[in-house]
Amino acid sequence: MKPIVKNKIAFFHPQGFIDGENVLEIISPYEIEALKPIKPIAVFISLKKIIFFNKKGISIALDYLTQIRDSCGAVIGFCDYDAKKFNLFGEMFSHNIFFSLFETEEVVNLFLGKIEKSEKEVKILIYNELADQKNQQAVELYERGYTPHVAKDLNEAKRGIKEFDYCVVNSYLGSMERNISIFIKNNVIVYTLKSFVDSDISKSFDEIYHENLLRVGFKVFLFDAQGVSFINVHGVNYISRLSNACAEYGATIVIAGLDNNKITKTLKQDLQDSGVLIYRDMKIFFDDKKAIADLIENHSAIRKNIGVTKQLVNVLPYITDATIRTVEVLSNMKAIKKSLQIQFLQIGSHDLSLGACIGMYGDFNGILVLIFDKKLAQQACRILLEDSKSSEADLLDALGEFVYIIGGKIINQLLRQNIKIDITMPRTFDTISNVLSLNKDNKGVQVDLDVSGQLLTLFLTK
Amino acid sequence: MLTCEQIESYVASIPSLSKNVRECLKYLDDGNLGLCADTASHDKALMFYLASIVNKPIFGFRNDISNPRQIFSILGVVRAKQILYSYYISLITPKKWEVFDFSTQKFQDFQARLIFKWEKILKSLNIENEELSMAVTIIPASLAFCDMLFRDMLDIVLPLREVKQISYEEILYKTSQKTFFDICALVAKKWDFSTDIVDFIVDVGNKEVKSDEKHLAVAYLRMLLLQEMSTPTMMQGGFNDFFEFELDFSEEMLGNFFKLIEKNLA
Repeated sequence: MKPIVKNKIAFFHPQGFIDGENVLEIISPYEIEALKPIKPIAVFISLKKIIFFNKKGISIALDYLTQIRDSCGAVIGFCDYDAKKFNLFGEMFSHNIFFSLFETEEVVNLFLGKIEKSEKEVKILIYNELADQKNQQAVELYERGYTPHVAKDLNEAKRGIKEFDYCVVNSYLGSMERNISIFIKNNVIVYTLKSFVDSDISKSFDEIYHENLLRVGFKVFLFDAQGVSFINVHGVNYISRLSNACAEYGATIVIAGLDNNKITKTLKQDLQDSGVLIYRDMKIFFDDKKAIADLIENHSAIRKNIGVTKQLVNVLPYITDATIRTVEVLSNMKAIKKSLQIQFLQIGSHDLSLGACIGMYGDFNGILVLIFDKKLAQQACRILLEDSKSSEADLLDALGEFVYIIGGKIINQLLRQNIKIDITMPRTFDTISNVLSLNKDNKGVQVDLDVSGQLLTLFLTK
Repeated sequence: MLTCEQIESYVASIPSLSKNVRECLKYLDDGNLGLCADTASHDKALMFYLASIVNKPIFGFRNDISNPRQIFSILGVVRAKQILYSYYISLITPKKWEVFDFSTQKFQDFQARLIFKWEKILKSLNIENEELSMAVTIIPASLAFCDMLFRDMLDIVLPLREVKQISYEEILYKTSQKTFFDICALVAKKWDFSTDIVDFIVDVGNKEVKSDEKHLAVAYLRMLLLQEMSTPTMMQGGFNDFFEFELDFSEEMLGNFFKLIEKNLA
């Protein structure tokens, strides 16, 4: 079964039963090998649509999950279950659980995934019968910027359930000792470092993923060193090298939480000399809104005016066709090409527009930017949205998925022409100024499409 | 993606029951198995199908059965009807499956298992209702409908299912407001199934079911379909997250269902 990987967290979604007979159809050596190159930070099996599981099935699944954990340090476990299933895990493993249990996928994301934009406003309730678990869960969430309320007893937890956005009452943290975790906060990529940082960082750090983030225009990468005990010369050299690579894209590396006990004065100087910014802690950095804005606005990239190449023009018809086909199939509307120009990205009256982009790399490199009328985005993403009451954040997520589907189609189309490419994760923009700022210095091919009277702009650049 | 018009046009393209099959069904309604067998014997494809189903291991006959009268007398009225409808459904299955990794042989095995298990379930629930027995015959058709309806848009459906956990039924429902059971019901209507069967089929795909006896049968049929879709063969075929059910089974129901599986259906 193919897992769905989002923000480096892989979810398997089986339905019906999990037992010794069918578990290999869910997770097997094949899935493990396919996941290893992705270096996921977590792998979970969702039990949302499972009505029955037995110990044999779960144990075999855990054997394979453990292989992934051993190979890339991913947090492993199960999610999306009710209180009864949660208690069943306790009984099955005699309360000796070495994996993690999170009651919903949203709770997985609270602990490991994307940070909510205004995490201070997110109301989280924590309760666990085991005091150490309760504390550990609270600490993990505090470290990620949330301020959870810890219920004293079950009654308080039950009473408070309706008042909170998230209730973490049937979750269990197994080993959370991951080498490097990653999440996105306020358009800043945050890598969390743990324990001793030495030459091993090169094994656990996913350079391909990092480069893809640079390709789609992320400008600030923050290493959270709060949990680091010491960083040696090899660790420093590695981060300095990353910083130099970032400069090529006009991006900056920031380290937070690296006090003098964790690094020598000389090494700290070396980091600063290579352009790394050092902050006392993450909070101070994120409070410095002006600094973040300046870093994101940085246009000092070495790669400027790369513009349009012959190769890009050659692949344009496939990319345009893939976009038109995806839009037409998913929205049930007709898309017509209106104009095609080589130019800097020009957007007319797009007050109510949303954007998304995806990087392509391999036999050719390029960035595909799509700008949708908001209404069109809603229609095109209808199938990806949970319900009609979706928020703008949901719509942006769905738009990212939509662009990823187009990317998948482009891969297949180009493969038929013997052009092998891969795609980055998508990046979305809630304001057009952000899209424009990303593409300010690059010319590209702009194709304007009319989708049943609504404008969809496709911009392909190097 | 899929519109109601496309679905209606697909259902319209499904052939009505042949004269021969209609006659067989009429004789079965009259309880005349002999005449039914004689009529069926004129259709070689039907006889071949009947023999291949009856001789499947799940039915447990020791010797090979090929004589038409013998086949119909062994089957009895209800099961003969079930298999006649199953035969007609097998005629509308794709020659080559494109969305799923499946084959005619595997499809027929699935039909046979479903009929056999459903009968055991109804028996254990003490439900003696020919209509309910019959309803299960049409449900395997949903697999064929899905393959036929989605094959032209696989280039979008596959990447879509790679980025989002979404069942085929959810895609269908979000784009056309129809479930696979609604489409099965349309075909059942076309094939002159009774209103009770048509309603029951729609209920299997509905979120709410009103009547008590029906509710029980609907819940057990959902569990049976979930169990079937979790078998290695069906999972390998890509059917694990095919349907979109409300999983509102009581603990007692689940317990009974598992007991039943362990006793009779494993």
